[in-house]
Amino acid sequence: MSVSHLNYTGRKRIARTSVLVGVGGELPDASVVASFDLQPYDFPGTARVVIEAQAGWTIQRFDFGTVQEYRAPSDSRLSEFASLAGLLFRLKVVATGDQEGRLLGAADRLRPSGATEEAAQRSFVVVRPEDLGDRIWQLDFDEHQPLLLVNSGMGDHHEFLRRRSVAALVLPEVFSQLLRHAVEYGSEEEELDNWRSMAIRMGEHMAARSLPQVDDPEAIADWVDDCVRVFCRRHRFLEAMAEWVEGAE
Amino acid sequence: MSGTLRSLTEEGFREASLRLARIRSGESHELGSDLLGDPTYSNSTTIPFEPVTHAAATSRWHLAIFLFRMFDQYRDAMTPGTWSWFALRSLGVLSVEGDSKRIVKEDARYLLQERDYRKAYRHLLAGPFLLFSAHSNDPTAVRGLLATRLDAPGEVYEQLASRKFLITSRGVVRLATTMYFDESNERLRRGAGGSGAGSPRRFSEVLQQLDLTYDLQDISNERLAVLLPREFARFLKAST
Repeated sequence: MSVSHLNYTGRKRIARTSVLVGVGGELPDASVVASFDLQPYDFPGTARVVIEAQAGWTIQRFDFGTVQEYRAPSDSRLSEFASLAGLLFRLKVVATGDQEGRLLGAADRLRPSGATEEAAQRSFVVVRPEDLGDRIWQLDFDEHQPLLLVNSGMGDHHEFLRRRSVAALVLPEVFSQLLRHAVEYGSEEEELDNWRSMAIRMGEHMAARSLPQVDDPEAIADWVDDCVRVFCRRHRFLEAMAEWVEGAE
Repeated sequence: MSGTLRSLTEEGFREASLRLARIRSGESHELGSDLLGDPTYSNSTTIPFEPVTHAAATSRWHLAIFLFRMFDQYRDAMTPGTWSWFALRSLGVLSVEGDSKRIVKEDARYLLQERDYRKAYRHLLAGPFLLFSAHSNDPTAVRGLLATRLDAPGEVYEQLASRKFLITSRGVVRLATTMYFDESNERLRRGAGGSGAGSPRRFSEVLQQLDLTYDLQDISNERLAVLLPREFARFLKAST
């Protein structure tokens, strides 16, 4: 006999398909990488977004800003853990102000995706090595998903993209192309996990405004620019490049 | 006498379980020294230790401090095998002498079953060490969870440690200590071992409900205290 569980708390259950959380690198430098789409849940913009990593009796919390302003933690290393065996994550959306501490939504028992940071940032992008001649990378689209091809001469393609300076140069353009492709070809289905729908929702979330519903290439281009600008700010790409330049000099 | 830890082998775990059962049944009184020294049952390590004695550790709180000082720098090297070997080595202080036989509790008290979380926290050495370590930035928060004898974890610990999301919350353990631990007498308050209104068992049940509605990992003990139902008033009052 099945047992029904009623939720009287008002807390929203965040679908696992809305959250992608994984571990980049290995201990002692392993870090949590995550992306999530909270747009469908209508949380207050000021609510805090927290991800907890847990294994054994160790819990480490990472502050990802607020619902309206995603901000990757300045230090996302899993520094409290001696081992990542059995690691699970929990995403919480927590109220601020009068309701401080109240849990508005949660996704529990999330297993690490094992994705690299870049893959985690966009689960619908498959990254793979390819013989591209002298070209370093290329974004392609097959029937189901975008493919980020990395020149196989770059060695470990995940390691290559994990470098912050490389990410700073490559990912904004990847994101821009993804958005333009998603807008141009639209979403044939309404499912939340359709990559074009996800890309557009993510863009709307970042730009803090809906995709312009007009056939105005200039308005669309402005919207994409806004999305990419926020994307770069959240990932502190300028800081990443400045560090790289400083190190190279 | 100090020395270096050994680590129980798989065969050592099996044999230890058999010998604990024999002690439990009264058939035997001691584990036998070969269990701790025979290479079939344990391997050597380079982790130094001092023996656990009643003089070194009069309660689980003092035991936790003792273990933390001794093993914190070796925490990555501490395995179920080393914890289990050390618990067997310390069986004299981790069990009590009855009228006619040594009283030995379930295996999980001595043999660390790391993969089974429902049992791992019961280990009489690893449990206090891990709890103290998890709150080493503010260790007095767990004082009330470790206020009992070395061989008897007690209700406050049992009820909270069996749930990770409670035992890892600073606000939860601090409030448990505030409510159930009498600092002036350095012992648990009367009623902290029961199961009625305001008891640790009820505290755990209420917290499981609150966890659905509040971010217990980040809640302060003061804020949490306000959320508790009236049944906890007598412990809250006693703590002021």
